[in-house]
Amino acid sequence: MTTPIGEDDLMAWVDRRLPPERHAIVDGYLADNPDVARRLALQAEHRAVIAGMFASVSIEPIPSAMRVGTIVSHHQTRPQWWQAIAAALLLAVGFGGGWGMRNSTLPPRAGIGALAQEATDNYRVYAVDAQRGAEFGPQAQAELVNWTSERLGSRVAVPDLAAAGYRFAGGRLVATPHGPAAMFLYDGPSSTRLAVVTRPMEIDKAARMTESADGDLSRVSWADRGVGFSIVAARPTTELQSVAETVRRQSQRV
Amino acid sequence: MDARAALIEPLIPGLRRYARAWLRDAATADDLVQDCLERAVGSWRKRHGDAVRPWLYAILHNLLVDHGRRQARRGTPVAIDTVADAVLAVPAEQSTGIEHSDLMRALDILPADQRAAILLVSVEDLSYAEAAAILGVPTGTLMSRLSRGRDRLSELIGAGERPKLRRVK
Repeated sequence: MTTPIGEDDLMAWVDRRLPPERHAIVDGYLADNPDVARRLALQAEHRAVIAGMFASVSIEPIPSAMRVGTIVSHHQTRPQWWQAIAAALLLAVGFGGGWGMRNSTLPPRAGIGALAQEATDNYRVYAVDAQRGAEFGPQAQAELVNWTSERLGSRVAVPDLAAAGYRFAGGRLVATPHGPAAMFLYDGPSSTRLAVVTRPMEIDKAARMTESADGDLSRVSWADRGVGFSIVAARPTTELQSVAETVRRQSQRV
Repeated sequence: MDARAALIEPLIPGLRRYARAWLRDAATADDLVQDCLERAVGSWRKRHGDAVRPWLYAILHNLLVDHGRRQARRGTPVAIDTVADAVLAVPAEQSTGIEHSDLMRALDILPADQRAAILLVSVEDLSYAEAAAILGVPTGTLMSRLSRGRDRLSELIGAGERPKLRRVK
């Protein structure tokens, strides 16, 4: 049984991007449908002509103003007016927001507090799901590391918490308002699930270890050299602290 | 800093080509590429590990679309009807080979999203997934824009079917 021909097949035929086995099937279809074959042959011709029309632009030498070095030196020597406005706005938001939220219970939107909340939210979705919580199981650790490192744009390592009694149970990429984060899951004593969530930090590039709680979950969060960590589990904070120390020691060795 | 240059600079010729294909006017096209590069350098950290090529094209594409909107608000110097007539004014005997100018004019008439799909795939040779990411649509949507755009283009160029051009609004 073959999959029916779709417009995606026809476009891939025009672009010569069909895998060989599919190509034969589409060729067979075109042999039976000369009208379509004519149309596609014309479109392939158009494709070549259009590609040729603008080819000369790409061999023009690029203007020196477009060199990244030139742009960077501009940025550094002359702060632009919009940067000044952006800075002023940030200050205003910082003061106003900080004052406005002095009594509020809104979750923090940035920094280490935000990371703890993101880790907690993702914990509640994924960590409780024993079957499908992890995208990559413990046996696919290398793939998980490659994938998350690439998406986070920095090298990520899976902490080894066996000494603390937590067995690595896989991990996944999770979404946060600050971009992707890596989440590693562990199975601990009396079927406790523990999560280590890590992502690059824009604001709190270095922050000391902070404990917090959300319902039944305890969190220990910190940031080192631009990378934030948050440990989440339904265990007493004191127990998480020793785990956090282990993670921190290992991350500093990477 | 060097890493940034090594990732960005090889893409500049392609970015200039994409902008030129949209605008024809080389100076304006290069201005927008410059703007795109400044933004890219300025917000490099916010890229969050996204692939550089689609990220840069997406910035440029949005600038091109914004530019198009501003132009439209100011009023187009050439009315769309005139452009359509210009396409009609192709000599009837020209049947072998395709004139560049015909294709250029036909591309200009296409709806912007179909033109973008064609240029990203045919000229920039980006994968369907990359082109879809740049335009912020699912791959299926990109495929149907590409398909409709190419059909429309053939129609406009008119493989011996010139009367169809009359339908151009």
